Amino acid sequence: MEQVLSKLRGIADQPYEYLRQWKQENGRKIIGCMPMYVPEELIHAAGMLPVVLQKTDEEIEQGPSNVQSYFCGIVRCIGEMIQEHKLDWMDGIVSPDTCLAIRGLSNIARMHKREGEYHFDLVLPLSIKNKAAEPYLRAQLAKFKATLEDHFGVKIENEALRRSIGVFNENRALLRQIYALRRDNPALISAADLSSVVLASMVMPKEEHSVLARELIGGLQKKQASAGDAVKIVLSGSLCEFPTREILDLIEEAGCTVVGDDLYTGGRYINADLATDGDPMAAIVHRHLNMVIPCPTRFDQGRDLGSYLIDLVKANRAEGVIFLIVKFCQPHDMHHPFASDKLDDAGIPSMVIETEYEMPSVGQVKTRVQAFLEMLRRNTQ
Amino acid sequence: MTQDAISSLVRRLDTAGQTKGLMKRYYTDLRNSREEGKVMAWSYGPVPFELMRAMDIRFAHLESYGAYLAARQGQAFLKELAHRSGYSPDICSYARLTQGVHMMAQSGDTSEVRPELLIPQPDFLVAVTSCHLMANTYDFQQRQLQKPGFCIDVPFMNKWADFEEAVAHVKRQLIDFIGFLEEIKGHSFDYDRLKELMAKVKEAAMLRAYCIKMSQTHPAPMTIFDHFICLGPMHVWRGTNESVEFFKQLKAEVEYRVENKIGAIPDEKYRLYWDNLPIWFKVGRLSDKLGSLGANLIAGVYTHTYFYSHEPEKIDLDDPVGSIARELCWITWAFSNVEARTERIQKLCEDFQIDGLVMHSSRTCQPMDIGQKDMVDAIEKRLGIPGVVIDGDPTDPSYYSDAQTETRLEAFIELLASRRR
Repeated sequence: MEQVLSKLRGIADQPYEYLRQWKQENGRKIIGCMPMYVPEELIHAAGMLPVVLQKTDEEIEQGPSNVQSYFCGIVRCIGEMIQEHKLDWMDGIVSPDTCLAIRGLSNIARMHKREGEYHFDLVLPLSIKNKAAEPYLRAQLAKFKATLEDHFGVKIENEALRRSIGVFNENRALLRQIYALRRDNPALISAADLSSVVLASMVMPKEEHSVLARELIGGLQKKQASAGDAVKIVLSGSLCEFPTREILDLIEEAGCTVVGDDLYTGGRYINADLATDGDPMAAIVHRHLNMVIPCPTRFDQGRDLGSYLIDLVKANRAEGVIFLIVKFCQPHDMHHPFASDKLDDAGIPSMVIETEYEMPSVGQVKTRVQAFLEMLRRNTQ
Repeated sequence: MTQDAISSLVRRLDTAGQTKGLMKRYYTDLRNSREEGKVMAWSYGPVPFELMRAMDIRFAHLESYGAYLAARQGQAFLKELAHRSGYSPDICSYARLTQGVHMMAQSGDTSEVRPELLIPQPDFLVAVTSCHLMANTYDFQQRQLQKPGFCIDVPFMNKWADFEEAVAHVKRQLIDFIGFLEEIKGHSFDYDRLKELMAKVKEAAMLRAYCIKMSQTHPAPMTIFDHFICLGPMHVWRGTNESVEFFKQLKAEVEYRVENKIGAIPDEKYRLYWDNLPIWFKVGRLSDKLGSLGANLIAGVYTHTYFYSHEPEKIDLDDPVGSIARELCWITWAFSNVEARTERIQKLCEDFQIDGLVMHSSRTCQPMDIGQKDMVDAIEKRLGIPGVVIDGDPTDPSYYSDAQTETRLEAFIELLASRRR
């Protein structure tokens, strides 16, 4: 099991290194997806590898960038990679118009794209309960499918799409199984490792990931471990990017244990399956317009994030919530106060850690988490 | 709008001075909407005011109101209220002022504001997603106020070929929004009234477009700051006789200047383009500084794109809803698509014989900033026109430095001079 974990950790730490090598070995096409909601199943059904673009420190020179320093890490990082032609080995980029920063990034990608490279803006509705959202999204998905078919000379049959959906559903189900194991015994796997496992699934072929995930589950089921008196908490946020191992480790080192999360490299990525019967395109539409986890980037969603988190806390018998907010993520910044007020009203304490591109003093963050945990401990006494 | 001491060097337009009275009347009407039995909305982003006006609904434009209050009572207390509600200083400064307005109402403590500046709580809320951040503010406040809400989604357009599809999508939502308004008001929508209103929008927009075009002459009769100040009549006042009258007067005044070769600044040597929103609290000082260097800011993507400034003659009075949808999509197209925005800048540079670009990189307005470097590079390559980036913010002075900005502008004008030698 340790071997499996170490392999997945390695991929999560150096996704681009892994992918370049994978491409060399397999010679297949790779499509980079900007976070967060590209229906990767369609790309898979077209016979290519969909990859969620990640923030990395693998090869960034931090020179003058075409993205100002007051943008979030993932946007700056991908912006720099595009500018420095570090993603030229990919065969295309899809952007789901997540927020205005990602939209801008997609613009930059389009302006710098090479001859023959695929680029598509999949414009997903923001106001997801509008009556007009459903037909519009249907048309956008049809266009996405058609451009993939045109550009790469393939045909995406419904049958193939259903098969791809099956592959993705299976992978998500396996990951949720690990989540269930962690909920019952949080000492089995650290938050950093679990998030790395999810991240690896965003990068590598789902089929291969599922094989490893099965092995991992086997190992975890046999593992003996105890979280002792660690305080159980839920992690929320870190939209679009992995919060880094350092942050996740320091939270647990401070004396708590993570029992549930809605992180993008976590619960948010694996929560919603697609129906395998009926019209697969309709299933994709349905998933987007009925998000399981409310998202700060959507409006008029009906349900709100605070209520979702209250349920998550209760289901996992957690004591509190730690929000991870990516520095300069304005949608999350603006959504968060309402969610944390909701938690307050329900008597669930929460705190915020802002995560930065170049992480500041880790010690300071640790002290704040410790103070929060002391408060939680006093609460339960 | 918030602005600092009136410039001494730039020749002010008499007509521009009238916006003050108009805005005062607008806010008085809003304040009295309860007593006068009117339905009132809070709105966010470039909302279709026309549809609400046609239903005799009064509308506060919350981000403008936040800035208006800040100009009269200082912005510190509004930002403090936003901060206390959990809004970080990285958030769009307009959104923070807007949130401050809401939090003040929530707290019930309005002692910081003179009573005549207060507005009532809304009957419903409406937003447009052209700026996601204002839509976020809407989303928060709508959930907290538990009042009916409608959010019109204007999609991003990757290429011009997507434009008509986007217009159809927005038009469909506008029709749904009309249904929403009918439910609120309990009577059906008056399309004839809308048609009359749109005729006035069209007339005012064409007058305004004419005034904008007048600056193609040398010396230019107006500065970009005049255009900023003259937005009010095309914004919350559009569709009214007052708006049409205002632009008639402005046209006469601008024509007089052109005939008599009176420039907005005494000695126009350099004609500059301004990118992004204004730095409201430095409008006077910046125009003086540039004026003293012989430079006038003539054109800008914000003033020359928004507010029906693009092809107003094409407003179709037989399809007013479609024309509104078209305007909303045009705004998003010209702003959010970096290539479209670059082309727009190029066109303005050519039409107005621009010598240089001043790119306001506005610290908390990410959507307007991203891609600015690529735009400057593209314009330099295509037209040989250089650009300078200055750091600022529409309403938050903590992100602005006089010394740094002015040094940069001086160096930039020096560069333009050396290129001429």
